Amino acid sequence: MSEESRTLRYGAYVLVWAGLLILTLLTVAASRAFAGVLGHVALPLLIATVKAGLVVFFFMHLKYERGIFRSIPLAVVLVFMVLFLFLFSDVAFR
Amino acid sequence: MTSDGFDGREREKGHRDYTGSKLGMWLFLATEVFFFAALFLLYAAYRLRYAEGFRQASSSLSLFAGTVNTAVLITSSLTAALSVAAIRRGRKNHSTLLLLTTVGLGAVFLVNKYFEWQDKFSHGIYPDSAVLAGLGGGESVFYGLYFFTTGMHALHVIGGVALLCLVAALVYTGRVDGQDSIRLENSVLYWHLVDVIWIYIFPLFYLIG
Repeated sequence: MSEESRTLRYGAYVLVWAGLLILTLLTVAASRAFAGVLGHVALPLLIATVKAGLVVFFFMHLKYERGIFRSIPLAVVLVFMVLFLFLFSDVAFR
Repeated sequence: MTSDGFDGREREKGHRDYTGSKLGMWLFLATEVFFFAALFLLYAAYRLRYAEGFRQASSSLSLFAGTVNTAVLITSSLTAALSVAAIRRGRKNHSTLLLLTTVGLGAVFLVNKYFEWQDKFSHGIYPDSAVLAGLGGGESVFYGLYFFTTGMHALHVIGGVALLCLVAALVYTGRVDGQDSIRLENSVLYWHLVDVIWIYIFPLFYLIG
């Protein structure tokens, strides 16, 4: 862990919070504006992932942690994607 | 391992492994993600099968309540993060107050969730109800997943609130301070994870109608 995270300004957290709120409103608007897969799957999940990234990297300080910490969420995401691909390739093409 | 344990965060009263503690927390959080990931995979499989039923059931959820709860939880994440920033600056009272604000927002989330569930119950929609059994397959599966996923998430919120109350007492009494804040930092990490999981629950259940 570096010294940066010990001195991260309060204002930086407030900015991240504002971004999260704007993205929340954006995802609601997107789900109203676009029908089908785009508005009800792709955009909401994309925005959710950006929001999760903001929380993990800034609020949870992952941006300022050493590599070994980053490898854990990376592994989680990769395993989940593999599981999802196997599930999807089975269920979606029956 | 680097010299983390010897950079001043190690206290005289006993050995403290800062990196080890935090690594352990991240590993635990990974197992928590997999628990919810299994539910999300189940959701994906059934949504592919019952797209129309999911859409109909989702549109009966209150988008307003869901959006408000998302904002409440995001704000509670902010106050939790700020409580860590405050303790690192040695501001004990600020940190305690921010933690109690986080706890309060967690309680607001739970009350909101209670009214949401209560509204569904009053329409006869609850696990294993006659109304639910009479609905189409897709809708009853959607509600089953909705109650289980949001219920498990609410249990995590309750656990987080209890944890943050405990750690607020530790901060207030000075047993957690700027030199030894790992118990606060790990508890707050847990709270952020509960927020991240909700960030995915929100679009999956509220935004597909």
